[in-house]
Amino acid sequence: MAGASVKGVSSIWTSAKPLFCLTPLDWPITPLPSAKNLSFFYMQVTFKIFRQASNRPAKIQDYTLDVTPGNTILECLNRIKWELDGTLAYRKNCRNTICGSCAMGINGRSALACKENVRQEIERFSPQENGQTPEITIAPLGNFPVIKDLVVDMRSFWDHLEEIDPYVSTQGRAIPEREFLQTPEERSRLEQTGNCIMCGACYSECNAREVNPDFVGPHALAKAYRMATDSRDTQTEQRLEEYNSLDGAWGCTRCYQCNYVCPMDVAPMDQIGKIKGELLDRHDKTTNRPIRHRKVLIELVKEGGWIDERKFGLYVVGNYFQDIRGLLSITPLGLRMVANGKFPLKFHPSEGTEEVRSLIERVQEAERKKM
Amino acid sequence: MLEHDVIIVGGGLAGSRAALAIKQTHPSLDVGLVAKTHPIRSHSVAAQGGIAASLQNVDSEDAWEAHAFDTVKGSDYLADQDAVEFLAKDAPNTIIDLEHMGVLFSRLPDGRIAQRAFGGHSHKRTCYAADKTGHAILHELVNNLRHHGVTIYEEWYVMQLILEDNEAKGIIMYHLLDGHLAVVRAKAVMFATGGYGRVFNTTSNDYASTGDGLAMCAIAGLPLEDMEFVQFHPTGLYPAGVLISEAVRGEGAYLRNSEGERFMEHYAPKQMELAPRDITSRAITLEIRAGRGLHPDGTAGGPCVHLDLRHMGKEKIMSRVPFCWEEAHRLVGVDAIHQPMPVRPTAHYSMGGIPVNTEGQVRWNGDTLVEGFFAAGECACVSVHGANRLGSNSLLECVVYGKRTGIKLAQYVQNRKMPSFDAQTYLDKAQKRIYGLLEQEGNMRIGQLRQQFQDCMSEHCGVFRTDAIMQEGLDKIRQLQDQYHQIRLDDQGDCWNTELIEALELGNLLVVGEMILASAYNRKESRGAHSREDYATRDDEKFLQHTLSYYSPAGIDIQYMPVVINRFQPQERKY
Ligand SMILES: Cc1cc2nc3c(=O)[nH]c(=O)nc-3n(C[C@H](O)[C@H](O)[C@H](O)COP(=O)(O)OP(=O)(O)OC[C@H]3O[C@@H](n4cnc5c(N)ncnc54)[C@H](O)[C@@H]3O)c2cc1C
Ligand code: SF4
Ligand code: SF4
Ligand code: FES
Repeated sequence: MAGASVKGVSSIWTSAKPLFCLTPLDWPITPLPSAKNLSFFYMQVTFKIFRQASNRPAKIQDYTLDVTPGNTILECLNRIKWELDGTLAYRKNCRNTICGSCAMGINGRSALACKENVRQEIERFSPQENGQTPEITIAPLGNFPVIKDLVVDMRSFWDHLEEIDPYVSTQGRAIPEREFLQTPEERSRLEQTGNCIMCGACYSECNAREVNPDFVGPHALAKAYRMATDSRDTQTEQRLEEYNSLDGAWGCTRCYQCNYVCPMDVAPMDQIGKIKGELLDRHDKTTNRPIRHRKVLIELVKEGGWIDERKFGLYVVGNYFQDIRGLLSITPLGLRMVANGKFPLKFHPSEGTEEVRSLIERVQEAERKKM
Repeated sequence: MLEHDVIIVGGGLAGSRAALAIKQTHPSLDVGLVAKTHPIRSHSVAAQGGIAASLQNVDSEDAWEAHAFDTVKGSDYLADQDAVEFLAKDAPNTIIDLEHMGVLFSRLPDGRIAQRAFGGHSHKRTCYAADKTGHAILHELVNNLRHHGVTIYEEWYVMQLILEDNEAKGIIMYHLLDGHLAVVRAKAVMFATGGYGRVFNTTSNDYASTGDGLAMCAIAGLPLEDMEFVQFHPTGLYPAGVLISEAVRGEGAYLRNSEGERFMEHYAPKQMELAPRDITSRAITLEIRAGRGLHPDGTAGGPCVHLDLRHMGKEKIMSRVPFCWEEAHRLVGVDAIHQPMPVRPTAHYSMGGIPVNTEGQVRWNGDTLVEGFFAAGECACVSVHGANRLGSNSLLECVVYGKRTGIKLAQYVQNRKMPSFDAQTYLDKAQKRIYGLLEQEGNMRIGQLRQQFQDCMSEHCGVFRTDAIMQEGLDKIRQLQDQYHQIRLDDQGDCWNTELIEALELGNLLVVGEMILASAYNRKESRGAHSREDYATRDDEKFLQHTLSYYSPAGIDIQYMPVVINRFQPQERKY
């Protein structure tokens, strides 16, 4: 067991939420060293790992190992488990970024332990200064109850997936003797979402899921887009109807976290955006509040170059004066604003209105052509 | 006690396909499916290259007979030809079935399923989903399980098969979540527990491929068939062992030695890099032995050769085999567009397994079947692969025989009563075994013993074998088995105790390893993947037979069973 030691329990920790995330552009990635360097150069690294039994507060335990920069985080965890401390619990299986078992919080963001390696973690998060031992922090995924250490209870994740009916339905369609034809273009539209390995990294970071436990989550909505777009599926309209809610597509706050962490480049937020696009095309603004929000926003900006906030509230929440309840619900807010001198009594159109309008129209035109 | 009409152990392609087949044909049957991982994490998800079927989408000359012949020839004539016939005939249907279920296959410009070349196949018949074929199929199957009302027990570890009077009656399983032990009683049990790559120190298999199903059968006194035939895939990424799919060679990559030479021209001048896996793995091993291997540190004569994709160009690499490019980049820092990848053979696939008939029912011996017990997929031996499996035939076997076994199971349980047995005795024994492991005071870690064992198997039962080397291996394994009682667990808890699971798995590995060695020792010829330096040729007279090995703690009993040969007469196997 040369070159490894347990430093024991250090501080008590309570918050499980990562504090910040760097965008990929913040850290230039230097070219990888050759295989030679990767396999023969050893360095000491301290792993700070969240240990936790279910419903108990977490504590951080330090383990120091001699590792090579090319070692994946999973390889390091295995060495900790096999050489230092057999009680450490985490999920793993393929060690090759395809089974989706090993997502966890690595240095503050959700990632696959078998995908990330020591060198990149240290370069990005713990640049070495005057000979200090670099550190890598490992925590369980967020938005899930912890079962033990890095193992979380994923029941809600699977249940939410189930809610979007994640299987192609060819009901009511004559089943041919041979395959359904699907052109490479039709197929390529499904490529990105088809790559999802159901690892839970996106769900772990999702802000919408955090505030609304019924929001089905980025993984489910990415899959939902796949289902609605699959040329073989016959339930497209019913599906879109189902996703047309705050627990579905409209719950997404476009925080970008899912796109940022997804190890397979599924880009769930983009897929959700496409579902929203489909919904907007099918509905006029009287359908529901999220759709009205989008449509009114664009309408008003086209009209005045920026938003006339007086109209915005009335149109979106009050549904053009048709939703009396909605109207009443924002009346107190309006009154408070008036009382505090914050209500915009006059609207001044932007000087750039013309320019903004033509820009929007050009985008809308381009969108139409793309379909 | 839990009860189901059918309980299936394993949620990979074979287990999931079987469960769906039961539900599709008899929706009212109550089906349970257990997996020690979540089913979607099963090893099948990692299969890359593709799945074979003579769809004739790319090659109109192809036919099921050609597929069957290639398979039999690839097997070095040890495959059972009735089983191969069903496999090859049913393949196109099976693929269409999967497609209708929603599997995302890669497509031709006209919208049909695309197909590509694969080692040992004489026609372009491998259907694929880029280089994530297993993922594409398994995700669709598993999502359909819940839809069809299959009860899923995920992250339950099955410890024992309950077998009384030549009849399977149920299983005992352990819940990782809280250490709860449960007995499941069923009218029929099916095993689809996958392979045992973890017997070796370098493998393409996932951590869960520990041969549990095989060991449980062996310990229950059932035979294992053809265990000596272990496939070493030629292109495991050095040093990790993860697979660089054969699809890379199917798309045109070259194998080169340290002199830059495409050495396959000395071993299989016609098929070159697309020769079957046994031949290619031996060629690489011989090149390395002859001092023409590479060390990644630059010295010659080392432990790997090069897989060269550079001439394929960026666009082809990134569109056809993007995952392989990513693997090499992530794990060894090689950009395959500009640099060759370091590769060497890696333990990959188990041709042998639980002997079954063509409907998936388990054999007690050549003539008798076990009541209530079925198996399919990599853990079973039907045998369509004989002494060597062709690439993209294994996923096919999983779905074809998974489905067929499912259909048979649905009929089989119609007129069967729920078996009876004394569950408490089994529970007590299992509980005792667990306490024993948790409490035993030793001086060894699991990892140490496992490493010694894996090194022993790799050294004594690798690509090339001899009597002397294997005898030594058998002696060593028995010593290692004795040390099993000296392992000590850090974790005595009952919540997500994966150390306990690893200890149980290691127990299984030790049994499976011994079965492989004993079967290999007794087969004194070279055939397919079983390559002996002291018996360098095939000996049809003595060994055109299946091995059946029976385990007992005192030693392993070896018997033989005839091969079904009804279409293609054995010939010399040349490529
Ligand atoms: C990297 C790689 C690539 C491959 N590529 C191809 C390819 O391109 N084409 C091809 O044809 N073949 C390929 N193969 C082979 C093929 O993938 C496998 O043979 C096949 O997937 C096996 O499927 P299975 O259903 O039999 O078992 P698996 O998918 O291995 O599933 C085994 C199941 O059993 C469960 N299990 C095991 N033990 C227990 C226990 N004790 N208790 C409870 N559950 C248990 C596991 O949890 C799992 O759900 C590849 C193999 C590898 C390693
Ligand atoms: S979308 Fe990406 S992050 Fe989310 S589950 Fe799928 S693969 Fe994981
Ligand atoms: S972009 Fe939307 S779905 Fe993605 S993490 Fe943010 S809120 Fe969740
Ligand atoms: S172990 Fe399978 S994704 Fe990491």
